[in-house]
Amino acid sequence: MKGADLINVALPEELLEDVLRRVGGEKLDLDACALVCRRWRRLDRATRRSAKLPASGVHADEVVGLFVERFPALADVSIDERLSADAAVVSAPASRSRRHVISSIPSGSRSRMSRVPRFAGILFPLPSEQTPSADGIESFCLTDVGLTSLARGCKGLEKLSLVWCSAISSSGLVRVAENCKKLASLDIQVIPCYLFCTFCFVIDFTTSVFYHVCS
Amino acid sequence: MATREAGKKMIMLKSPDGMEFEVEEAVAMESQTIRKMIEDDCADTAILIPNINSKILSRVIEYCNKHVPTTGATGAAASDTVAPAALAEDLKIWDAEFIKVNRATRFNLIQAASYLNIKGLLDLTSQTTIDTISDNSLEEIRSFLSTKNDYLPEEEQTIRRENQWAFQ
Repeated sequence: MKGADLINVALPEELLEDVLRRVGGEKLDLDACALVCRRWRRLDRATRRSAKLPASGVHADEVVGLFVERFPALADVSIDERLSADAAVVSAPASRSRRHVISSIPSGSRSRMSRVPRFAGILFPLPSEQTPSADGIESFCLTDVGLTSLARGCKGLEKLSLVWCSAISSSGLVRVAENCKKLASLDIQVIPCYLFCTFCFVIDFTTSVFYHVCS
Repeated sequence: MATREAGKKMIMLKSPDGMEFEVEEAVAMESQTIRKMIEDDCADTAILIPNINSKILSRVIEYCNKHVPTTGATGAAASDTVAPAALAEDLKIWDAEFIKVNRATRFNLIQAASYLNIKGLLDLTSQTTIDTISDNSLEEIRSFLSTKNDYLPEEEQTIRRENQWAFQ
């Protein structure tokens, strides 16, 4: 089919976008579309709305940061600590060396992150500086660094689920609240190992009420 | 407006290559773009449809003819005896036949459906295009859609790796 690119010639940007929207949210199909050609990848990246991201592994923050950089239109994100980011990153040394990598916290954002957040007292009684994840260096899972990248990269976020994300703290959540003004649903599931019970915090942003549900 | 009395008001559609198509107003009004023109009285009797050649326009009219509501101005009482479900099934089969066209025609039909704002036709043409994506290999997708692969091999590898960052 060399030299006979009919669909890309026939369809202008918004029409191709409309066609691609019919693919639905199926990740495998969207991935396939991104591989078709550069134009399709650009459209996929600019319009993809939902994603399930890994939260465990030393590269979790990095993967979330890089992903969000490429998919700014995400509205429905689930981050799950039962999924590992390492498999994808370990096999990708070439791409990492060539590309801009968010591997460390910019000093500016670090100082901002250590500020006592407005809602900290409501969410957790402990000051956020004492949470071990704040340095983010020796962590083996997603920390506030990754969560902050998500908050800054996806301003249109509407729904966020954090499953077992044990290393995030209220500072990361406050970054989300500050940046993602459209957020309507935040679902946090924490598993304390000694209890082996799921605590779900569901925060309703429209009423600013924090629910605590134990299932 | 004169539509009500005989229910057979005719509208002339002109393609840019000079062909003229006389269609019933109800059929032409399947296109929301033309409907708007008629309702706003912007159309006398002839409407020039830019960008859509006679070959594609005749296919579009064929589609509209089939899809115009039978209870509409044409007053076709005969189809009232047929159950709606059977009618819908019949339309589906007809659509499947209708869309068996070459790729260039299909992409032109998408364009035409979008310009004329005919939702059913846009859905049909786009969905048929997209249906080739699921469950097919990348090479098959590219060949079905006649897209040109402009990736360098290493670029394609990078995309494949990046695709692994997210989970299903």
